[in-house]
Amino acid sequence: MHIPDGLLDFKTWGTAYGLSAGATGYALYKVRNTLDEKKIPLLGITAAFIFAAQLLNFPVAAGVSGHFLGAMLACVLLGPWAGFLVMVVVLAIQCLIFADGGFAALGANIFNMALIAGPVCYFMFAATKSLLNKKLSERTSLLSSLAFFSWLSVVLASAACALELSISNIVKLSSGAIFGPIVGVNCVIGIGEAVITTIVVAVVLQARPDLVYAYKGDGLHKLPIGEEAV
Amino acid sequence: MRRLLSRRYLVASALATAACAVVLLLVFASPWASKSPDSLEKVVRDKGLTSTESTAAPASDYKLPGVKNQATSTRLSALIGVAVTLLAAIGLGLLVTRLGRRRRGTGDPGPAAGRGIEGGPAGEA
Repeated sequence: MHIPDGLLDFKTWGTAYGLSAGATGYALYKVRNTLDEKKIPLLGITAAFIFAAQLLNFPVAAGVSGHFLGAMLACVLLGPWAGFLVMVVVLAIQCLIFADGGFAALGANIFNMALIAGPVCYFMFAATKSLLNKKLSERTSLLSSLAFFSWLSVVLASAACALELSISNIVKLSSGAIFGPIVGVNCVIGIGEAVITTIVVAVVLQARPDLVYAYKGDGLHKLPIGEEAV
Repeated sequence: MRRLLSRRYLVASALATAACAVVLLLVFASPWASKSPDSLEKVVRDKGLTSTESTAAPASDYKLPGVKNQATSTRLSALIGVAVTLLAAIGLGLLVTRLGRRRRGTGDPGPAAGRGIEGGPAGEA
């Protein structure tokens, strides 16, 4: 759902650029103080994996394809704002080097696929996870909320994309003609997203639970005295 | 402690190797991706909308200019994309954490130090 140029009017892509630039500034500010230097290789590998996985379009319905998104994967492994920045890097490279998504539409693509599918869904995921955690183990509540919210992340990102197209004065179509096919197809793509994200996080959780930001564990992320997170 | 450290190291290496293998496999498989339009492209085609393709990008549509073989062209551009993404993300991470440390005015490794594996997968009730 990378929006090409020529479909959004100035007010839409301009607003989206403003919102995305604001979010990127905030993410840089948050990450500057909280990112553990030892997580930098994971940052790189996650970005490379998401870039590579996004190359592989799979057939969804007759004549339509879709691909992995990865925003929730990045956020759960690295934290919402570092995950957001990973998505910004991937989307910017796709746009600038491979013309995947328009340059004017980059702000809108970041807004949909990095912000909505990333931190916005991550915070809903985190709230659900801690609710479930009252009854279930942390592992089970993490993986089950992740399965649902990674599905939702794709659906909400596509809904945001459809919304931008319909408020844009260039596309003269009824909202139904835009939302129906775009959101409908992405409800199916979301299932693939949920399967891949949940499996990858389950594997990392098994091998190195300290590499999963969303997993608090017992004393797993305990900081040395005097270094308490603020 | 030595054994714990080495086990931890082995697991980390295994994870990193697996991740690299998956990424290379994806790069190799990239020419076999579905050629069908995605949901948005399909709406654009079906409804006769026009979008403008950027001609400024060096490898538009994941094809390297000057490489005749389509599959090779896609694989090479995928490989370049993966490498650029990896370096850009690592570079951004280094830049941001360096700036953060300078701002705090300390040269210590910060919360990175002293993270043990005592916690392990917590067996909660």
